[in-house]
Amino acid sequence: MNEFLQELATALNGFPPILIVLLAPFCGSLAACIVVGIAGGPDADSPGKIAGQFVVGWLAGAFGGPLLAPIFNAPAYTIGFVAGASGYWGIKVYLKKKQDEILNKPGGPGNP
Amino acid sequence: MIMTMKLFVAELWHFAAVFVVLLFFVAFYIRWMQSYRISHGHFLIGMGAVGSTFVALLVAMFAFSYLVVFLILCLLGAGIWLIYNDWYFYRFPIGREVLASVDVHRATLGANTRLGRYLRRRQESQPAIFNSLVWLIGACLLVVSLFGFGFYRVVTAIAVGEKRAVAAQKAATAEVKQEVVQVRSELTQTFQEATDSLKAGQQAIVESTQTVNRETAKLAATVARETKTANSRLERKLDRTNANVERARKSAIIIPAPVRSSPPINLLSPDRVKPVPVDVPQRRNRHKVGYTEADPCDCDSLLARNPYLYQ
Repeated sequence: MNEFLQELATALNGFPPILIVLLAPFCGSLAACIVVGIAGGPDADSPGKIAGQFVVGWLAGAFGGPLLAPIFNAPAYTIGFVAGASGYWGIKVYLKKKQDEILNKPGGPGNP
Repeated sequence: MIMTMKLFVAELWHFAAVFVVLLFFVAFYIRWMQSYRISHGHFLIGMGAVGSTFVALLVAMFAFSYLVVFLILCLLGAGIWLIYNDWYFYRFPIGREVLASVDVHRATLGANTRLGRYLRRRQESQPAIFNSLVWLIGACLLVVSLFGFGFYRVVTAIAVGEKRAVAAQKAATAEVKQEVVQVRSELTQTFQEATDSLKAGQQAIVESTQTVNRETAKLAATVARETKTANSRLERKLDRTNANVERARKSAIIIPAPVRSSPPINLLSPDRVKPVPVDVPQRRNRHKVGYTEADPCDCDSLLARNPYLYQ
């Protein structure tokens, strides 16, 4: 297992950097959105919303990963994956908060 | 030429693989867009499968050597999607009353299966599901991706060729430099050897010259010594000879002195002065001292005969 992981790490390090920067957040955001979608049940979010959160989380991870790279001493693809997942999670939490704010406002929609 | 052909064939295979993966991606994406509203699982699993296909597409484009691994991931996602579909329509079968309303002979788009007929019915009830705009966007995506990928490959090939040319040039330059260094060292060594041998030769010459000089000096000293000896001997001999000669001269040679005083030189013209009578020797003595009658001055004086005799 350890050898397999080492070989995988070697293979991933041999990737072109632009692919690591693009694909690691993509995979992270995808994994996060699938996990959250399965955990949240059928009526958690609409498909369009999940897809939008996925794309925003991907882009946030792609932009934030290289910024976080100097702080954490880890391979670029790991940081990108974690950044993509956390981007998805962050945009989901942020949108939820914003939606609650808007919906619970006294003069807002649904609150006469 | 063979190398170029190999590269061309490799590029052709690469392009074909990318084309197949791209077709699969676009078709799968459209299929997912058509079916993700069926259930939550359709959406999530389809998203994972399409996402893995997208990853495999990018890998096929830009990191072709890793394609095998990511193609396995992609096919895994597609297989899970298929298994989930099978399970879903087994678990929630489409009712006979729903399928009865679909004319089987009109189902020209899609397979003549339960799912195909269901999609056909949905197309008739909701025409937006086979939106022509979606197909147009898919076709445009396909064409643009393929053209972009071809452009990328051509640019990469040019860059690789230039890099190889630069590397070859650098290697050639390094080789030439190394050769120059080698030749220079060889030249230096040869020069050093020549200088050394020349120095040795010069030293030998100097030594031989010194030897010759020494011998010459010895010879010269010998000659000088011998010369000196010979000289002294010669001088002694000469002294003795001189002494003998002197003695002989002193004893043998007698300068004849004039027997009487010389007659005064007559400075006056003989025309105006009366000649002084000269005491002429007796006739009988004339033959004894060699005087003759025909003497121009008619006297026996040597001075009278030659006035420059004693000057």
